Amino acid sequence: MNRLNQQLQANAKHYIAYLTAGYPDNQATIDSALALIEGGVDCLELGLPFSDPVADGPSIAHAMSEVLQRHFTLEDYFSIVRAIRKKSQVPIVLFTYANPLFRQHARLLSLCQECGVDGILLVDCPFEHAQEHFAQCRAHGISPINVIAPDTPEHRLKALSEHSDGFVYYACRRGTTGARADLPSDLSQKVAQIKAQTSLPVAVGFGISARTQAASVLEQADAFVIGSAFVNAITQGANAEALTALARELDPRLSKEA
Amino acid sequence: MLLQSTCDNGFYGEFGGRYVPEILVQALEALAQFYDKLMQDGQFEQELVECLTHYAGRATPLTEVPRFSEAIGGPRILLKREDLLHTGAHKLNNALGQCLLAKKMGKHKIIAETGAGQHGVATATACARLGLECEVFMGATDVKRQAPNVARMRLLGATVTEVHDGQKTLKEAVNAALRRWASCYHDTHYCLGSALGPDPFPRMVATFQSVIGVEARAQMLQQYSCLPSHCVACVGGGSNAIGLFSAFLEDEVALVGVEAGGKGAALGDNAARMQAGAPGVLHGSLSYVLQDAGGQIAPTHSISAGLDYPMIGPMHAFFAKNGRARYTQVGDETALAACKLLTQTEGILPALESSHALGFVMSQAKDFAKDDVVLINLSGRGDKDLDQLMRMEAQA
Repeated sequence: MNRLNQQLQANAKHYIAYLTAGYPDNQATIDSALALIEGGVDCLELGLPFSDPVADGPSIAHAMSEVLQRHFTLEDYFSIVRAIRKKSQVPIVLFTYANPLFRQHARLLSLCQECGVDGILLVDCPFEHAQEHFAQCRAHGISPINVIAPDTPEHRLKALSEHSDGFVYYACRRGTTGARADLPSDLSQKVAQIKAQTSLPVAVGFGISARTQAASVLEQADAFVIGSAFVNAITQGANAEALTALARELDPRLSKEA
Repeated sequence: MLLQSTCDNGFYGEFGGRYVPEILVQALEALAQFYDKLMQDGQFEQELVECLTHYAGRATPLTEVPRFSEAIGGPRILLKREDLLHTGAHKLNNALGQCLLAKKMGKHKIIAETGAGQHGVATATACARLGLECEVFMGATDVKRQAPNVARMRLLGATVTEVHDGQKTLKEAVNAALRRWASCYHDTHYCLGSALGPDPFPRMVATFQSVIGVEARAQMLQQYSCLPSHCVACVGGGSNAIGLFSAFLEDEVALVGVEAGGKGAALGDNAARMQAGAPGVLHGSLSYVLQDAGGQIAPTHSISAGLDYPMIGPMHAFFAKNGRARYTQVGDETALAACKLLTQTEGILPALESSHALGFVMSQAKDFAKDDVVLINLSGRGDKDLDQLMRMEAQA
C-alpha cells in the first residue's frame, strides 16, 4: 500500500497538480509544490524532464527544455522529492517519457521507493511494451499509472485499467498538454465508460485551467489535473503565495466565498 | 519480401515498436490495418507503379563511374541514380506511396517533417499532383541552410512551418509533426520521410523505397550479368539504404551503411549512432540513439542536414546486431572531398548526404579487391547544397 492507494479514492473529489521538476530551479519547485498543497492540492505529479517531450504542449515543453539546460539529473529530481516529503505526505507521481526512464530504470525505481514516490506515469509507452516496467513497479511498491485517450477503444480501455494502479488518467482531448478554455462535449460519457471498466479513481486532465472546467470534470470523475496553468503562472513569476491563491481559485470543491 | 518476414508485431528483433502516447495508438493501428490491406490490393500497386513510371521518371539508371574509380584507385563503381528521380532524390518514392495511400484512406491533409528539405519537397510535390493540402515542419536552422528547398515547397503550395525548439533541426521538426498529428489524425495523414518512427512507418517507408533495390538488382543482372560485391548507402534515418539493401538481403552481397561522422568523435559532433549511440526510445521506436547518461537525446552535427539526426531506423539497428549489414562513418571533410571529386570526374553533383557513401568508398578504396563491383546509392543530387558548398569554399 502506497500513499496513492491509501489516500486516493474512487467517488471522492481529488485535486492533482502537475509541476515540472527543477523549473525554474530546484528550490522553486519545492516551494511551489508546498504552496499548491497548502492551496488544497492533494496529489502531486512531478515531471522528470525529457529533451523531446512530444506529448507536451508549449508551456511544459518550454519548462523541460529550460531545466535541461542546467544539466538536471536524477539526483536533482530526488532531492526535490525528499524536501517535499519532509513537509508533506501527499501522494507523488513521477511523470516522464520512456527514454529517461528506461536508461536509468533500476536506479530510478529504487530512488522512487527510497524517497517516497508513489506512482509512475509513463506517457509514451503503450502497455503492450511496458510489461517488464509494470512488474518492476509492483516489486518496488510503486503504482503504474496509464493514460486513456478519447479514441481508446473498449477492449484497450479494459486492458489499460487492469495494468493500472493508484488511478487511471483520462487525457480528455486530442493533441498535447496545454491550457484551453473549453471542455470536450463527450467528457461525461467517456468518464462513465471508463468507470464501468475500473474501480480505480479516474482523473481527468489535458487542457483544464479554469474552476468551471474543473467543476464539470468532478461531476463525473474522481479527480481533476491542472498542469500547464500552474507552469504558466510560474513562468510569469508567481511566488508561493500567488500559487496557493491560484490553487484555491481553481478549486471547485471550495465554496466561492471561502 | 524478407523485410516483411523479419518484422514481428512492429519489432525487428528487439528494435522498433510503437512507443507513442496513447492518443496516437489508435491512429497508428488504423494506419497499419489500412496499409496491410492496401498491400494486398493489386490495383493500388498498379496505380503507384504508373505514377512512379510516368510521373516520377522511374526506372532510374545505373551509371558506371570509371573516371571516379580511377581517381581514387578503387574498384569498379556503379551508381544507382536516385538523383535523377523527379525532385532530385529518392524521397519521392515514399512520398507518392504515402500520399496515394492517404488519399485512399480519405485523408485530404498531409503533414510532414523535413531536414534537408528533400522529403518536404517530395511531399509537397506529391500533394500538388494528387490535390492534397500540405504542411511541412522544418527546423529554423535547416530553413536557413536549405533555402532553395524552402522556396520550392512554398511555390508548390505547401505551408512551411518553422520550428524554433532545441537545435532547430530534423529532430525538432519530427517532434512538431508528431504533436500536430496527435490533434488532427482524423483528417490528416502524417507522411513520415524515413524508415523511422512507430510501426507501421519503418516497414511502410522501406516497402515504398524497396523499388530502388529491386530495380538495381535487375539492372545489375541485365547490364552486367552479375550482382555487386558491395552495396553502399548513406544512413540518416535510413530510407535510401533500406530501399537498396532490401533487395539484396538473401544474396552474397556486403551491405554497408555510412553514417555522418561530422567533425569528430565527441558526443554532439557527429551523427554516428551505431558507433557512439546506445539503444533508446525516440520518436516512437526503439533503436540506437545518441544520448547522455540520463537518457536525454544528444545534439548532433553533420555537414549534411539529411543525416543530422540522433537515431538510426530500427531495421538498421537489427541488421547491425545480426551482422547482415555493417555500419561505418565518414566525416564532413571526406564527404565534401568526395562530392567535389565526383562532380569533377563525372559531371554528377551529388547531395552531401550521398557524398558520405561516396566518401566511404573513396577513403577505403585500397581495401577493395580490383574485381569488386561496388554499387552506391546516389540518393540525391547536390543542387540544394550549392549555397553551402560556395560558402565553405569561400571560407577555405
